[in-house]
Amino acid sequence: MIKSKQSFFCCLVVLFLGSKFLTSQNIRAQESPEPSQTPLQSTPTPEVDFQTYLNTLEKYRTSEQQFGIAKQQYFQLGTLAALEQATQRSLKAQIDRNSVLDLYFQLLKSRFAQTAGIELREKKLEIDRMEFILDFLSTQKASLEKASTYQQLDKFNAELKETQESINTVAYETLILKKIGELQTVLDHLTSISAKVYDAVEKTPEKERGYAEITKTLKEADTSLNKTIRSYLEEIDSAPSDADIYQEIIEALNDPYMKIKQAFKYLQELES
Amino acid sequence: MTDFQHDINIDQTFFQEDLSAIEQRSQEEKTPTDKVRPIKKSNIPLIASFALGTMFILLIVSYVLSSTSKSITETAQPTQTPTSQQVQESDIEKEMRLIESLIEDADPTNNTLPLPPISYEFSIGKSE
Repeated sequence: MIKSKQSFFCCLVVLFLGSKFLTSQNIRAQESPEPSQTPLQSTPTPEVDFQTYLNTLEKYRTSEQQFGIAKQQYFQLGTLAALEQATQRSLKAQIDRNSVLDLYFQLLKSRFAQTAGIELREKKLEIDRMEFILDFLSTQKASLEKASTYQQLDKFNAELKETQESINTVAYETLILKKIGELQTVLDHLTSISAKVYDAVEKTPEKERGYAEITKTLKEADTSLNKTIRSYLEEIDSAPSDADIYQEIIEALNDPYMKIKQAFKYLQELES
Repeated sequence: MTDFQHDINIDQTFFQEDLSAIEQRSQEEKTPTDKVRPIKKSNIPLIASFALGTMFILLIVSYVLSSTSKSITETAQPTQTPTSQQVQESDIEKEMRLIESLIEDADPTNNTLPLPPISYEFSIGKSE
């Protein structure tokens, strides 16, 4: 009796394992060939939802308008009720403004951290600056939430106004470095791929001349980009980045960008 | 009794005898003489293991058959192994597409995250 039971369970186990093995074999046979292993990527910083940022900005605009109306009413009526209303509107507008700036710098920091082609030391320095601003905003938000009088609110507003220049400088610097990094990345990729394309195509005198032109254009783009970077570094040594400097650098970056586009067009022609 | 009547009587007797034989046979069919032997309890695991074993064998047979048919199909349609040149070309195409999108992103005039248009004037102005 015991022997029969043992054989029964043995059979059951064998059947289960057998069916498992066969099923797995069958699934493997149906699978497409295994994809080539991709190199390990560093975990990206979770990006703040861009739509959330846009919604917060929209909310802030409404608050800003409502504060303007309340302040106007207070100046016209000069009543305590109007003063209270203006204080409440100022509080809401300042909290919403804080949220907008906080989300903006979180987004900028996340996108900047993911951009390649930037010198690591420079990248870290810029990220540290953004984190400093984020800390400041966080502290101010906590204080704002406790504020109740117009004197306190005026004080917080003055504090943020003092940091306006720093906020703008860090944002513009980051945007410029991000753009430089993006252009450098494209240039590096293009230099690498052009050599591969040249190796793959049939060597004819026409193709040789084409490849020489691509190499020349890429070199020109590299020279132009480095010249812009040098000029930018000189610029920020003398004055903090602002909207004017940003515009100036962006215009200067257009030259290497057009050369990169030209080189890519040549390369597409060479490859076809 | 005429000869004809005699024949009829004989036929009827024969018919009645035949009918009673049929009835007897049907009665016999209704009451089966052989009884079904009950399965001994001690034999259940043995029967179950035999059934499972048979299923397992059938499973292996079906697997062998399906793999054989697969190999036949594969022989009929040999998979084309890409040459190193083809692989290189597809890699180049992939990289070209990547560069194309990177070029679009790198456009200096394309700023996807401009500074938010905010006001720094939320003072009521009474405390100044």
